Amino acid sequence: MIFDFFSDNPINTVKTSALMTVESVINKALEYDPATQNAVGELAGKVLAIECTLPPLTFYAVHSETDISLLGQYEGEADTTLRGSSLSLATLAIDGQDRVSFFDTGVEVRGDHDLLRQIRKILKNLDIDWEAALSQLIGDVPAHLIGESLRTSAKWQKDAMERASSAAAEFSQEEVRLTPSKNEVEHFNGEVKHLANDVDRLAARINKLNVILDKKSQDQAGSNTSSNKNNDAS
Amino acid sequence: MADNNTAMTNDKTTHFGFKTVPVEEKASRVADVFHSVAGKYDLMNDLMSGGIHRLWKRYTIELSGARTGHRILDIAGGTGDLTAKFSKLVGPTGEVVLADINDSMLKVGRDKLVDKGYASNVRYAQADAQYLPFPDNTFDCITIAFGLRNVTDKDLALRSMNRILKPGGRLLVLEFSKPTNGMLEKAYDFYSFSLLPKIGGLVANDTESYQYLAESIRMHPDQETLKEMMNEAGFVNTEYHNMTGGIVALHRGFKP
Repeated sequence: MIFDFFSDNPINTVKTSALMTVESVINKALEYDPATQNAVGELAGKVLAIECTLPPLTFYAVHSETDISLLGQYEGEADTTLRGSSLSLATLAIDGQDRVSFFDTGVEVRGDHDLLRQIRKILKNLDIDWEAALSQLIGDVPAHLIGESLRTSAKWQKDAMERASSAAAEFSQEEVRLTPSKNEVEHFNGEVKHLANDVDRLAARINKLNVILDKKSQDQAGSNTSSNKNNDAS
Repeated sequence: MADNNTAMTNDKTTHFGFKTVPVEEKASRVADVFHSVAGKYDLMNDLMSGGIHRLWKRYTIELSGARTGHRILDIAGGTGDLTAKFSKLVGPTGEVVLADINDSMLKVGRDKLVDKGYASNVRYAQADAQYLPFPDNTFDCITIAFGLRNVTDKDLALRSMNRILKPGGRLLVLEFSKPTNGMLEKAYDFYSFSLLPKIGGLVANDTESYQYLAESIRMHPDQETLKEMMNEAGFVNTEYHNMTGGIVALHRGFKP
């Protein structure tokens, strides 16, 4: 018997529980991103089969008008089937590139490729309102305060990174003179370019002189030959 | 018939838990139990099963084969857990009918589903599983979760379900059954008869109803008997899957 918690196949129980949990998290997140929820709704009735080879696991994402159901078994035919390792499947889900073909991703795609493109587009544009989600748990004001402090903290972090980078460059260029400044590099590049042009011009001039010298020596050789003939004749 | 040995002790009496009552009284007694527990049915299910009933129902959905455009009947649908999921799977071109004999349960289920936005493809019917008020060959799938044991004449109900299924359609019966492990059975008995009525008393203020639930589970046919009853009612390829060590079993049969 399958699906017996105590004896025969506990993996099925773990699989069903895991799919239920993931489905619940996805659908909860969709509630806080109405644009994505609408985009998912446009795929209503479409079924994506995911065959993970490592670890071996097959499940189906059935799209409805408002959410997604993750089922361990599905008796109909999936519109699109993805087959690959968990790593390659995850990479494909998050890489965010607009792909025409999926041949170099390590994931075998069967069926409707356009469905996969639409799902990847949805994942790329995912923008969950975490503050709204948090406010359901702890109330509007605390959620806003936490949201504000997280946003401030993120901004401070970004500014601090930029400041640290700028300070490090200044120290290296001005204090210890370990690296040149941007202006110095540009000036040096300009001079190198100028020198390269001069060298090119000099090479052209030398080339021109060589041509003249060759011509002169050929003329001289010609005149010597004719004078020798005259002498012989006389 | 198998039901003669399990549900009815003779022509005029039947089981109501461990009690023997006149046949005509069982429906009203069961109705009283569910009128009493309807308001806290979901909470009690979670408490009684530790939330595992969600997994049992999820597995039922997976074996239902429900997909876009299907018509599904959820008998004894209670507070609509299965109906909600089916509603999404069958989409706007399909239809789910939530049926329950008990109007309190049906009201709680309808309010819950409407509040959650399930409206376009869900219908409601107060119906007796023994005399289902639908035309022949109507549904792609019928489910009855934790309801069959409360039906007075189970054979009649199974035949009624067979009649309204489309050929090739399937019946899924999710019901408490007989644990396959002796130790588990003892622990389960202790839980059912000692703890469950107390939990019912504390949470729903109704010890007797939960005492009945425990007793009715023991009086319900075991896995093989129910499978045989389904075969006799006209189902084929009948099979069952034990869950949680046989505490619950999911039977599935197809209409030929």
